[in-house]
Amino acid sequence: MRQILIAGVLSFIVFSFSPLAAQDTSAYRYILNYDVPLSPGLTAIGASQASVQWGSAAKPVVVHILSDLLQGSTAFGPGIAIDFSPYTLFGGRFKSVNNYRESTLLRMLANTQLSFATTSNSLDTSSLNVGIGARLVLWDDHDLLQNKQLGQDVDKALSSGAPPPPNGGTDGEATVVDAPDLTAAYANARQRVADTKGSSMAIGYGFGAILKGSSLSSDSIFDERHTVWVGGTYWFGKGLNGNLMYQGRFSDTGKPSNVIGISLRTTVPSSVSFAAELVYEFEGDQKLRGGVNAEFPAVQNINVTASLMLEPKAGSDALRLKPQVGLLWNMSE
Amino acid sequence: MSIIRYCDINPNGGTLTVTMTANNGLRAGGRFGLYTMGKELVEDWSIATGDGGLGTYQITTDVSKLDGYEMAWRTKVCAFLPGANEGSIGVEISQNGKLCKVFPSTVWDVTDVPTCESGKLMQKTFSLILQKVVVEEPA
Repeated sequence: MRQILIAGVLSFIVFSFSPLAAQDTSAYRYILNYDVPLSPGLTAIGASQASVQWGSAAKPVVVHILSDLLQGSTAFGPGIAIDFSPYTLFGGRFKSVNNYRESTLLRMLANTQLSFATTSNSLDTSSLNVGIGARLVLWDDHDLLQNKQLGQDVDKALSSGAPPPPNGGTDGEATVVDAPDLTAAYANARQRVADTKGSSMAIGYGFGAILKGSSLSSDSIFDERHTVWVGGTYWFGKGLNGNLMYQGRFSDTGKPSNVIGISLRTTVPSSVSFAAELVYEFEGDQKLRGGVNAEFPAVQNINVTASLMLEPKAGSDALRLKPQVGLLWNMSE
Repeated sequence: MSIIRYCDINPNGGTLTVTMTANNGLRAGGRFGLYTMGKELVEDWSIATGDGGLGTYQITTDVSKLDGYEMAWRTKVCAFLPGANEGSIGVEISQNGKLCKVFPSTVWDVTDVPTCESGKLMQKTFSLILQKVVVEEPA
């Protein structure tokens, strides 16, 4: 319940202070069915459903809801995260599509993602794990916004049909209508990029801590951790991609930890995606770990995620399989 | 009550160029029709603002015949960049590089534009009457 309350407060803050929010309740519409990146906030507290990051472009607003199927088996219980792209959320503008494509700075700003996350702490039920993270996409060959063919198909859909009849020099009313040609243009574009070779890279930083007593004050924050990572993706075509990641974890109380990981993912638009990963931690007793995860569209605007990972068992160095399910929710529609 | 829109043209001037613009990453397109006073369609065309936010078309009908003709069009718009869903769609008519006087304005300020990715678009029809203005030749 506390997670939901905190997420609600965070959502309120984010949307209340957005200049767009005041004038437009549906400013954040988007479709959540292609290559959503891992939440930096969940990564900051080590509660992400996958260890190996990939490099895909940011999505405007994503809510991650996690459920721990074996409560108490690890330090992380159920949780929630809100990821958003602050540039568009807070009213950042573009002159044109070319402006986005040609300006590296603008594209980076638009693809910078902030994240707030919280999970319950299984070892101390009065405490919360909290994380704040940021992620910057350096490039993404599969960014649909850079796809010129998609732009041409959209133009075709917008300039099709018969001209309107004469109306004596007066205007009609504005209406919003379904456009099957647009839907088809995006479906074709997603399939086209999934079948195309290319690469992407993203860097991230996350701050995680335990909030004792679930209240925010200087003496209630413990176990502060900093995580940095760089993740790259290479698409082999036909929806298959490989990912390579380095992650460094630093804290005041423990030794730095260096982790590398590789994963193989299938990214099929509007269908089930699978991934298998291997992670090697240079320090610690259990150096090699692995996991599998899947994501599939459930109902409109909601994807379901499921993962099975080898994680250190709470309070010991032994490894234990940790099953987790989650939801990725398009909260704007 | 709707105000009738007029566009002043010089019947002895050059051909008319129609320009459509869209800003803030919005993508717009239009289907245009040119009608006689008897509502007969004499020319039709499409314009898309594309990646650069601008598209043009040069009307081929002899400008000396256009007095009293009506230009009607349907503008369709969607947000190509997610989150950037407000802006302005403009349609301008120029002759010899000079903008023709149009009243009321044909700039359409839009908010809450659906993303193109959502499979929805916003549309609106516009119309104007072309009317000749007498331009005195310098002595």
